[in-house]
Amino acid sequence: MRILLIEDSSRLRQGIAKAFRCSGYAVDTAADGEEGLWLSQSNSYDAIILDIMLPKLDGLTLLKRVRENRQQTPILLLTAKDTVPDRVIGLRTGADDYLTKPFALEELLARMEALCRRAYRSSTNTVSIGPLSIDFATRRVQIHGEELKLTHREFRLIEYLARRQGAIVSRTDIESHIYDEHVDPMSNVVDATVYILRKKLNKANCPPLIHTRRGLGYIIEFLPTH
Amino acid sequence: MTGTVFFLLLVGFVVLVFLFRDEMYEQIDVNLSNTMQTLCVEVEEYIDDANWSSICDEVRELESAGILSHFWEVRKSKGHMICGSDFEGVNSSEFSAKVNVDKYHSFYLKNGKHIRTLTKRIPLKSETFLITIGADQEEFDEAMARFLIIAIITVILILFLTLILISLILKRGLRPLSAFGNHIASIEVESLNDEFDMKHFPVELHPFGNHFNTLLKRLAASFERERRINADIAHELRTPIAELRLSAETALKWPKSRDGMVDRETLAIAKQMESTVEHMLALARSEGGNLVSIPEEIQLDLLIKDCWKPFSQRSLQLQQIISVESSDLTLETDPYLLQSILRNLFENAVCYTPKGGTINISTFYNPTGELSISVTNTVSDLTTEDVEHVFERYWRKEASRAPEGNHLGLGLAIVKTFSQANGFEAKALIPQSGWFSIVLTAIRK
Repeated sequence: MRILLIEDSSRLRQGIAKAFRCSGYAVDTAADGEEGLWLSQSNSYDAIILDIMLPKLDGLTLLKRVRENRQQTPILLLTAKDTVPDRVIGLRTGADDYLTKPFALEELLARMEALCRRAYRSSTNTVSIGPLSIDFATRRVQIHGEELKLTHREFRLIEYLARRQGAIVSRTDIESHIYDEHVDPMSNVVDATVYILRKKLNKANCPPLIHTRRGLGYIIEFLPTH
Repeated sequence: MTGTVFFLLLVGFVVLVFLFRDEMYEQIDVNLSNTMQTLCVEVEEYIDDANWSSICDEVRELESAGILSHFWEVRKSKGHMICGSDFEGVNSSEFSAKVNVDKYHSFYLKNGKHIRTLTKRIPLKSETFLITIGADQEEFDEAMARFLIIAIITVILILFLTLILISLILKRGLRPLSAFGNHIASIEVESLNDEFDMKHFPVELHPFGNHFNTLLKRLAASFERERRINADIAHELRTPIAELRLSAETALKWPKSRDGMVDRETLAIAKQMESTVEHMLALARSEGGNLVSIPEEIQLDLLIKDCWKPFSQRSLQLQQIISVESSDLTLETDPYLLQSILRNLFENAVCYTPKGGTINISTFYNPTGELSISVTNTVSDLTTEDVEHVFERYWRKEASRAPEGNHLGLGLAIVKTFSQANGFEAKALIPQSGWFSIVLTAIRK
């Protein structure tokens, strides 16, 4: 999952980004509204965390512009403004959720998970594909009930594919959603990760689930004939 | 009030009674006097001859003719009665014992009759004789009694009506005051902006009401300021608290990710919060009138250099060009307040001067001979409109945060109030495009 964090307090920005990376997210950050708007329009994000009091372009104006561009990316407002009118304005401007500072980290993580679930129109945190079972909340993967250890990157990849099971996902999409700005988009890290993932699944006696569609991308699905 | 009215009525009643009585007596006395004159005229011719028989006959004739309808008596001065009218059983010695010569005199006889007499002395050749006439005061007494009854009833009625009227007038008159009092009692913190509508009050209360409305406005402004201060404090402390909490929760959730930076950041956040609270308290104290300036002689140039020292390193890192022009001047001022002012000015200048910009600190005498301290720096985005707001608490050009660290927008507000307490006037101006200046001018006393 790739998220965009727009927060001008450097400590908060770094702290939240660190927490989300530790939780397996790819995180892009912006320190002001203009940079945040540019990033939101340049990349595809699963969700955005947005502060209201931003330099150069305030959060509510940024939010308005994102919605005017018909971007449906789920947005959580993270702000010190906590009055009811502030919340109402924020939600009516187009935010999907509102969290005031100071906040509990677990709550922020949980709300972001909920936003991402909604983005994928899923009401649960688990997905099953054949013998493969993925719990997004606990970040656990099981095959035939046996836990499969994956790295962060591998989990992000399988999570991204599993949330879109049965749909072809292009390499570009995968790159933009699971890798943050720190990864060179020209590298073959996606192919390499798919290769490693297939190997691990095979070793765990899992039938092939990740299929290549030449020229199009990858698809994850269980074909019972195999 | 009621007692006074009652007392006045009583005094009036007594005065009226006496006036009436005196008037009545005067009528009786005039009657007696005229009768006596008539009597004296009639008996005058007989007096020289001491012809008492003729005198008595003459007087009896007058009595029979109805001219003399009073009691009468002629006696020698030494007590012997010569003749008199029928006193209806009254002992003549009793009658004569009670009369006063040449005076009007009222008295009661043993039979209960109320008599008023006039006695005239008639001097003859060898002795003196007394003629006494007396009027029955029965009618007088009846008239007085009727008058007294009417007067008492009138007084009681007047008193009763007065009490009712006073009560009604007071109630009506005090109604606006009562409404005023009720409105005051209903005022709460949330309704301080509800002014008195003076249209509903009498003109006499308008000055009172207008002053009260002014007071309410000031109270409302004061409460609003307090609310804003509390909201601002809460707002400004939320972010550092969020930072602390996030740092701690991240360290607890992922202990392996914890490093020395976390502790350094925690300390920095704590220091920042401490600075925030100190700034807020300093401003609150200065605005509450609790600042006391204790002047002493100081070397201004040394103080300026001393205050600049902590900022020089940071300024160097930002490659700012610094110029300090301060002459060897002695000034009488509170050094602690001035230090605080200067540190806030230097902090502001270093923070908001762009990298590679210029900061000029100087002291000079202005054209009117007043000592001034000026801190001027280059800026990237301040306008003339912004200058009007720079001394407002929490005002920042960018509503979020300054590029370096977290600035609350209190520094210049503190400069303003501390300057006022320390005998300086602080002014902000844009001397030319791209420059910003704060000038402190010592106010002459």
